[in-house]
Amino acid sequence: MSASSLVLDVQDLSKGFALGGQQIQVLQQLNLQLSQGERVAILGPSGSGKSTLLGLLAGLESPDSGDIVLQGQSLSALNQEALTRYRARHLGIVFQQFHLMRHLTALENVLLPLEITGAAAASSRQARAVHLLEQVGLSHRMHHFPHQLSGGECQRVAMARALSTEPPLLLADEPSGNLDVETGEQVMTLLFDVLKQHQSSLILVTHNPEQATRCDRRLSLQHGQLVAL
Amino acid sequence: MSSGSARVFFPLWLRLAWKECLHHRWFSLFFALNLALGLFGLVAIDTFKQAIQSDLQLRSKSILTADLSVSSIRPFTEADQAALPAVPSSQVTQERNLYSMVSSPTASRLVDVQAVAENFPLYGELQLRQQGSVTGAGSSALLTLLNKPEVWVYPEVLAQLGLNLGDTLRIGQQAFVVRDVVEKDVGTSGIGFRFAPRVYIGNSWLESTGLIQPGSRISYYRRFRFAPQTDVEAMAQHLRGTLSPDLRVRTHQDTSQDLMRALNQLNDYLGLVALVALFLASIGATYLFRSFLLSRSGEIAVLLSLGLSPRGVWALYTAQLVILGALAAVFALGFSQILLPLLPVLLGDFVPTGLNLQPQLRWFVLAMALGLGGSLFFCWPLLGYLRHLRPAALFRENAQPRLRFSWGSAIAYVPALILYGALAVWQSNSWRVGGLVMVAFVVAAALLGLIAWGILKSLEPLLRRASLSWRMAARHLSRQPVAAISSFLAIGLAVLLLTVIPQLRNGLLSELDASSGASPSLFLFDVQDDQTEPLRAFLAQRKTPLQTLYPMVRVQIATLKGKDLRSEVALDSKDREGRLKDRRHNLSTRATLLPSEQLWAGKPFQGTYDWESHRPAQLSLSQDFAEELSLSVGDALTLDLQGVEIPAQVTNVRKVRWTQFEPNFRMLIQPGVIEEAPKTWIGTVGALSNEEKVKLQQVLVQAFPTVSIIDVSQLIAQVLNILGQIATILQSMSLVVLIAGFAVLYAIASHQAQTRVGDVALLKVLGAPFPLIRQTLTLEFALLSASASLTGVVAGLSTSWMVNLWVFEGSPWVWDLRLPVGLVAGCVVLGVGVGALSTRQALRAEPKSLL
Repeated sequence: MSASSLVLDVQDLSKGFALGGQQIQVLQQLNLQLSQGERVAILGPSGSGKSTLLGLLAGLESPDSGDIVLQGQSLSALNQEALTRYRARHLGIVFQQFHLMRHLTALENVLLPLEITGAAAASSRQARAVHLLEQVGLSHRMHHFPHQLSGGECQRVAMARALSTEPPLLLADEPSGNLDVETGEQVMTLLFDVLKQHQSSLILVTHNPEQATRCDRRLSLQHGQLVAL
Repeated sequence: MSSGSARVFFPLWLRLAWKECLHHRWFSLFFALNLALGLFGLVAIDTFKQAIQSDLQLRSKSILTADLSVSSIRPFTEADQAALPAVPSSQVTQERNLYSMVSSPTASRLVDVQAVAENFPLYGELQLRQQGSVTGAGSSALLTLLNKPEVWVYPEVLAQLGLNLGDTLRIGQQAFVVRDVVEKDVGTSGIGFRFAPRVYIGNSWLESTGLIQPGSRISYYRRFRFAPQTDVEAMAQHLRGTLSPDLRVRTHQDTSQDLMRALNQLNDYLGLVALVALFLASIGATYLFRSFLLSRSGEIAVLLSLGLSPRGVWALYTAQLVILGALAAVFALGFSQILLPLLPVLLGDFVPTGLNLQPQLRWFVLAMALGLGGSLFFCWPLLGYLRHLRPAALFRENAQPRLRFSWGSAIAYVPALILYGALAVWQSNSWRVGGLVMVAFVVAAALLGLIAWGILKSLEPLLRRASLSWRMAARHLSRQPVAAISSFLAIGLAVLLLTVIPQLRNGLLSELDASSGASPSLFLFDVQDDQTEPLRAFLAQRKTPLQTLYPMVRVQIATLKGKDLRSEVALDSKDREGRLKDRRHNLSTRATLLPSEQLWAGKPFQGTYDWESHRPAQLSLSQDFAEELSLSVGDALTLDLQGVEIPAQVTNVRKVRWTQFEPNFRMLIQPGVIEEAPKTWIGTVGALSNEEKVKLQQVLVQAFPTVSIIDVSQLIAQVLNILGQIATILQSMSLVVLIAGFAVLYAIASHQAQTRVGDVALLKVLGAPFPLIRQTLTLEFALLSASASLTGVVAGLSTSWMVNLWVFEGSPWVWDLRLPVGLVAGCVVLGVGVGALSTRQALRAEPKSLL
């Protein structure tokens, strides 16, 4: 793996919590490298530290030790404000529970990250959001609110939102976890199809071994470290 | 503007804020309505105050009937007249005024005799029933009045004396024909109450009444109308420097300011009550916004995870608060426009008719300032909790990001308390009163809060053995302390106010009622030196002897603690000392205290004054007067008694119970000082029946036409009427507070209800019958309303008892059981109603929602 194509470099990442007077070490000197366009699945039982790892990778939590370097930028070198800006431009996140803004339409939800970053002119932002919704097959649902959409549609909007800023890295937390099997399959197929058209790398956290097989690598989180499967 | 162009023009946080308001429209509407209820009182009162002020300013010349007036309690000398402004004869008029008895063949009463001359009135118009309007020079009605022994009278004079137009009315020794009735007077503000109705006579006829005697309390006026460009204030200042110090110079603006000062006191108290409504509304708004932020925790976390900075989130919700505060201000303005016209109806005779209550920019600005202030100062501290929000929890299946509120951040509410302190000072126009009110309020809120905590905590163990619905109700109340204590405070404070105001009124009424039995029936004043013995003999012969008879002179304060008030030409009536300079005070003398008086500080008078000693005379002041002058025992002042300076020193301060209606004086001087001065006497006649009073007044007026008589029971009736009106106004404002209190309960209960949907569904899944669930909710609101209103009632009764003890000094404390019982019962019914309304959706929760 050449250094130039390296999107993510996680070095000796450790994180623990104090619980009931006891120190619980969730991640222990965890290492992970991800190259451009690479898709990695992370599997592991509940409580293995998957959510903690995602929180750290998203810059929403800070590690006890170690570093996360995203596209050559060490996250630990950034203050809170810079980290927020960096996250907006370089990360896309898909949550298990979609987490759409209830009072925004599908189009407005997808536009939101573009507006936060203020990356492009208003007209091109709009065009990009519309294009992404077309890509996920929701051109006819653009002006609907989340409560007017099905679970699968909500997750497709969330995917379009995550990709709107063309982030180099997409974090997907169990994207089909809240959907029935059939819809979940459709959504995952769509996610991988759309990713083919974008050059984003993917970290997919899942319980589902079948979905994990669609990725280039499969890792398991065991005792605070990633182990190749 | 299309949504696309809106995205170009407005920043993201503002657009998101706008969408939050629109999407959560019920929250927005309720937040704004709740805050508007609190703003309404303050906006309405200020609107009303400004309307009266502009009315007085607009009519100030017709209230004074001149640009400037010079008055004296003695006739103008040639030297005075030479120093008066030189204006054409058509622009000056003179008047004399005194209180006197008038009589018809069947009755008599005290009236305000206004003797007017050519050119009256210089401004404004007087409306007569028969002859139309009188507007100064050239009025034929005025010419007739000046040339014939005729009178114009107020309508009540006809009714009270049993007269008709054309009948004869006697003033002193002169009979006058009642020529006309004054429908609308000039030279009156329409504010406050009138001591006696007015009658107009021609100035030249006053001598023939025989009322002008040495010591008669006659006021002499010269009124002037200047060319429009004249600087009246500068003219007044000049005259104050050149005229004899005992002459009083007033401009039309001074007059309107004086009137405004009197009315402002009532407005100040109303404002303080309104402030409580705003405080309660702010509590409601805080709770609503807190619940709203809680419900938005997840989405705020999403925004943060998408890269919106914490500053952006803060700007978003600040903008939302600004929008909602502005909406509340608009609602408050709407309420006040609808309800303001009712205020003059409540205030009755207190205010002039035809006030301009149309919207003005000032009201809009005030409402906006208060709306934004109330919204931001109380809700901003909640935004501080955003920094504790953990967006990483979005990745956790069983833990969603949620704002955590703690009591530890109460310090963030200090700016809100400072805002309220500032509003209290602004409303009361006094640092002292405002500060005291603020402290009292915080102490009351803290005490009620503590009591609420105690009661709610003890409900659970108390009802341990009660039925399930009681236990569940008690458990919910004691385990939701923020919501329950906030509701308790809102209801408790409102009920406290609603209890205190009528209690204080009842206290005053009972004091006055008690006085009316023990007080004298008639006050006789303007008794001349040479009339004292004949009067005593006259009354003794009719077996209605004089109870008391005290001498009285009028003095001015020349120096106060070494400061010469007369030399302070620049003092104007806006300053306390300026007003003192202009005022005359009644001074009497006696060696002993009356039953209604009590020595508060200092020692009783010692001996009779020795003019040869050149030592200051001993002076006794009533406590209120000493406070007004900032004088205490040992302080020195000089009194000007008809040009003679009397050095005096405060020897004692008395507490006076004015409600006893004894001939009390604010200033008493030791015996030996005023006995030789020209003076009048004031006397009292003991308890008489109504019939005896009417008969005695009739014969007294015939025998002593210059003696004026006041019927004490009529005076008490007038005071009771005023007290009743003031209490009604304050009570109405307290009702606004109660409504604000229940709006808070509704706000809290509605948001609590959202969290109850799951509980109710679970109860249904567990097999709880619907009546049990409904009964639990009903009991919960009944318990809360009953305990809060009961605490409010007890606190209100205790407060009134303490006020009675300390302010009214142990006058009988009375309470009417109907008031507290009615309030508690009303609150329980309202509370249960509000509870039913706010939880109706939660009650409909489907058990399958849990599956």
